[in-house]
Amino acid sequence: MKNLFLILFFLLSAIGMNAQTVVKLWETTPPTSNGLSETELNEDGRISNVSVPELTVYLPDSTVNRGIAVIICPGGGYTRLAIDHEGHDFAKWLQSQGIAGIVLKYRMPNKVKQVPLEDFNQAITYVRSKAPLWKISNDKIGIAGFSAGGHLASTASTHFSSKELRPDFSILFYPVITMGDFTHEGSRNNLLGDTPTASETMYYSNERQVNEFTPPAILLLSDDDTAVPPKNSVAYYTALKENKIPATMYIFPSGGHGWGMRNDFEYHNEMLSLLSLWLRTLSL
Amino acid sequence: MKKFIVFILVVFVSVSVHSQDSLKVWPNGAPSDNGLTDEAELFIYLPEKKDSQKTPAVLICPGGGYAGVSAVYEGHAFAKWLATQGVAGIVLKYRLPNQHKEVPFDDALEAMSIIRSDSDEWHIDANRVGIAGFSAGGHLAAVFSNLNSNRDINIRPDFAILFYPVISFEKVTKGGTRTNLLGKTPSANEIYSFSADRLVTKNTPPTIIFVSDNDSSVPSTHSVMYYDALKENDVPAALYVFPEGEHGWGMIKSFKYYDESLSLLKMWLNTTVLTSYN
Repeated sequence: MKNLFLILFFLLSAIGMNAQTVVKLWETTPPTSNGLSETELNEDGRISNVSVPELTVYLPDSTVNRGIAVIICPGGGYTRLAIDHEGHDFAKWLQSQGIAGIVLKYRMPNKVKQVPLEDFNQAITYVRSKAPLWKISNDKIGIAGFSAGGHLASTASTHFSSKELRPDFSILFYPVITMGDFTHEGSRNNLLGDTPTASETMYYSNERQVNEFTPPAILLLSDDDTAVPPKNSVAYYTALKENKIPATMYIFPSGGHGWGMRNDFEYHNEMLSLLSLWLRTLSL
Repeated sequence: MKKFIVFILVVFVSVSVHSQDSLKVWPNGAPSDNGLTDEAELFIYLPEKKDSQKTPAVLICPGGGYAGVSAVYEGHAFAKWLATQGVAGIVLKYRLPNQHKEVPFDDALEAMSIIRSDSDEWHIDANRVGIAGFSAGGHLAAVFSNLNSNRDINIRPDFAILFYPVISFEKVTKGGTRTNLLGKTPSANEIYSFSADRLVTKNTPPTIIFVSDNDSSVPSTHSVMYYDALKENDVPAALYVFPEGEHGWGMIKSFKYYDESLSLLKMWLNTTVLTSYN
């Protein structure tokens, strides 16, 4: 009996080594409602009707902890979340690199445009409050975003209203950046509705919102992306250059859109290697 | 005696494995004059002959701000590396313009004609001849990618490889590249005709571009402008903007991304150019 107990103890410890913690984002109801009330649905890693926004925290082992955290915004056109290959899988990779990966299950806007950023702001506030406990440096908390999640990430990187809400760096995977001509129309309609005003369109076209305080970024995408035109990333990179912000951009010749952490992406290994090198150069 | 013959044979074989031809681009004199005494030359590095299949080739234009031709790394070293990848590397030591703008382009045109007409002799597939350029040589290569010519022989490169290229002449770069080609007061027409981003059409060849974000000699925006123009015209491309490295790092092993840059180029060559034809 004692042996069984010991075995169980070791087994549980082993599992606990790379454990994740799930945290509800809001103690009560969030300030802004998106009006969605249907049941949350998880179809094979694609989540729609997020009703309870939450964080899944993957902390690295203390022996390899580099004091860096990344809040991850999965993609899905602002209508759902591809939370596995653009969320958990990326968080686990970061964890293996000694970096805290924090998957943000954010609420869909449902044309209430402030909602996703509201969830991110809550997330970064929470992470900064935990930074001493998790042994994360307060100037090494970044954001990552895939596709529409990249729009959220670039919005967060250009619309922060205080130092605490500013991500320290951005990792953008085939991001939607603009709400203008070369946008992803589905994402735009889901965020801004079918007839946004010119000023709303400008405000959420993040290539137009870059300034000297915008954090450094790395952009990773494919040339043959027909869902979200590479022009989005090019426009953001160009705006960063105009403001003398360090930036890196890798436009792979193939892969299309949405490859995330899939290892059948031809440049999967090269992409991770280049990202890893970039993370090391961030005066980290 | 027998040992001596064996020795000679061994020497001959080891020399010919890395054989290199060189020839003058204009053996009978160039049609244009730059007022200088330099001569255009080609240096040919052929891959080891593996089978009957003809190889692709790259015409390489080293950099130097149109005031010199930095052929060591941005010419010969790159050509040798290409040869190890099964691609013929042909270094063009072009004549300096000395403000005679047609001169380097005349040399590149003639070089391309020579390569395509002599392709059999060098075991080269005339349908897979690309161009590469570094810095000002990248300007030459990018502009050349978009040139039309009424020559009988096809001069359009099948693909292009650009390293930290000068692209646009609408802003003057540090090293005087534009001035050395077009003089101190070029006309607006000259500026636009030699700004490669303005020349791109749907017929521009597939292009891969490498540059560093912190390049203070030729800003990365040149590369990005060219990539943008390629996208406007649906031309397949790849663009790699490394975080560091500054300018002129081509084929220098201490460049932090040396291995990555060649690995990415190799992958691109494999899918663009080295897949088996016919």
